[in-house]
Amino acid sequence: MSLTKHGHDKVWQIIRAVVIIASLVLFLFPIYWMLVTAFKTRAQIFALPPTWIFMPTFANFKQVFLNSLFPRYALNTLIAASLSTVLALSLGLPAAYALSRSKRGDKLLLGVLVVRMIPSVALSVPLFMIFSRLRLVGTYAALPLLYLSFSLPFVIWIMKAFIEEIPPEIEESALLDGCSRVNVLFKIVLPVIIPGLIVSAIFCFIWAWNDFILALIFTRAQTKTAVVDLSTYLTDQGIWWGQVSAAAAFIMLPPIIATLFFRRYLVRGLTFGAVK
Amino acid sequence: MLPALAALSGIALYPLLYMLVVSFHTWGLVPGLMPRRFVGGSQYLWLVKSPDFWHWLRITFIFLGGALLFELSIGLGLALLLSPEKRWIETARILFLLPTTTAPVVIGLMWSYMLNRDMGIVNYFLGLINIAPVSWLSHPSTALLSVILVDVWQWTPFVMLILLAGLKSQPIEPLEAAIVDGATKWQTLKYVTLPLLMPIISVVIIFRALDTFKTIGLVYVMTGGGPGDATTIYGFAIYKKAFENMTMGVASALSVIMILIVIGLVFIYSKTLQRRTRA
Repeated sequence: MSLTKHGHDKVWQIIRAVVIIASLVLFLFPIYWMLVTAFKTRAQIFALPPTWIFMPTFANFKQVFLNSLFPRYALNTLIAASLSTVLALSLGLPAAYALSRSKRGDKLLLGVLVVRMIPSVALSVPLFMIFSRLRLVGTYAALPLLYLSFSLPFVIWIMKAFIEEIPPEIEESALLDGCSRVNVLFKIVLPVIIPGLIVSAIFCFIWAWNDFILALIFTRAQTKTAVVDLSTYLTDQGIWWGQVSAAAAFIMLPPIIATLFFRRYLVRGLTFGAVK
Repeated sequence: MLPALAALSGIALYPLLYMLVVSFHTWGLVPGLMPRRFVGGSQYLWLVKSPDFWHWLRITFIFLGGALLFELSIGLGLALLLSPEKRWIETARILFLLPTTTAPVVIGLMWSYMLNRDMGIVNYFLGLINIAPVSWLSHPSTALLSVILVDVWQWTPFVMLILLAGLKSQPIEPLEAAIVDGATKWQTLKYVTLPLLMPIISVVIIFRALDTFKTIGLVYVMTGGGPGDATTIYGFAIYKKAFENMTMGVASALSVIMILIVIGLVFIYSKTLQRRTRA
């Protein structure tokens, strides 16, 4: 009796494994295809039937990284993403702390949440007019400030939840022992909420890195980001798919690294707000 | 605390008020080309009466409905499939997340290449089973379908992740009771697991609905809203009206309406969350 049940279970396990692997292959195929295209020559890209096995070439990467302005744009993206992350964290952490210890915290949090949910397009319309008048369009400062509209609420939201895990008694005893509020924040609260900081930092960075619409509207030739530059390849005379793939492969790198090496933080951040 | 509030007010509240004001005007971005005139509520009236407005809403609705249909069903299937706690399954879960973390522009280009009529791999595979090549992005109906397909591809892993977290946090007693009562796997799924999952599913629907208003990058790169305006979802329409037609007044009015919808959705979301913590 138990033997057949065991055999029965084994069959289901194998079926499950097969279905999972098949779905995985299907899902990841486009990414694989894009990466592979980056290493093909023009002829191989246009070939029908498609070339599956071939000798890889680095010509596309050379073209994109040595012969064009792309590295400049990649640097711009790095600057924008890093600045915005630092800004969001430094403004958000004290705010989260204050909110979690105050009585009106939850009402304010709802307001903060609404801001986070507002699509960037809506804000971009008036912000563009305001920024033009302030002569901020096309500067390096523009994007980090703009990204605050969704990264700051997110940081506050997440950090508040993390901070609330700390019982106030610990802080109160520290305050009684003569610690200043600032010291309490740094020496006691900070070490405990570092996972929350990492989650926030990863998401702020990736969103800023991947953002297109705000970057499109608010950057100019000097400060253009990599993602915006990529979109321009589409309108040129015949799309240089090899170079597009090479540039795209680079742009995909930080998110892929984050996904593979920071998986726990990623999962925590993505499911936050959906499941307590 | 104060700097954060100041920043948020600056970057969100003030612009929103500004936008509200602009929405009552006809407002050209470049003053010389188009006069700025106060028109009050007639701007909204004009919008509500114009067929374009309803067309954009309809397209957005079709997009959302189609995407959610697949994302929920495939997502649920994947969540159930990937629920065992084994090392390799956990790795599989992470690999599935790759589409979700990639930049929409990159995804748009990726798929534009794959859906290309002549050299795209999709038509190649279809050809293997004797289906004629399709100009995916040049026909109105297939264009919308393609955009939905790509959105499903990108976000189903996200839906799966949330559904999985929901499945994991379900209390074990109802399930055990069902098994004791002799329910089959299908019956357990239908009468115990799914009803318990309803709050999470509502959260997913709200999240995706909110995200639909942000799916501009994808549309921009894949179809530019076309052909014609077959794939012009609401958010993209705002972009076009503001930055291609330069009519800030119309764009502002559209945005105000959109924000009202967003606020409504966030309100429903927080009510759903309250109900969950009480249960």
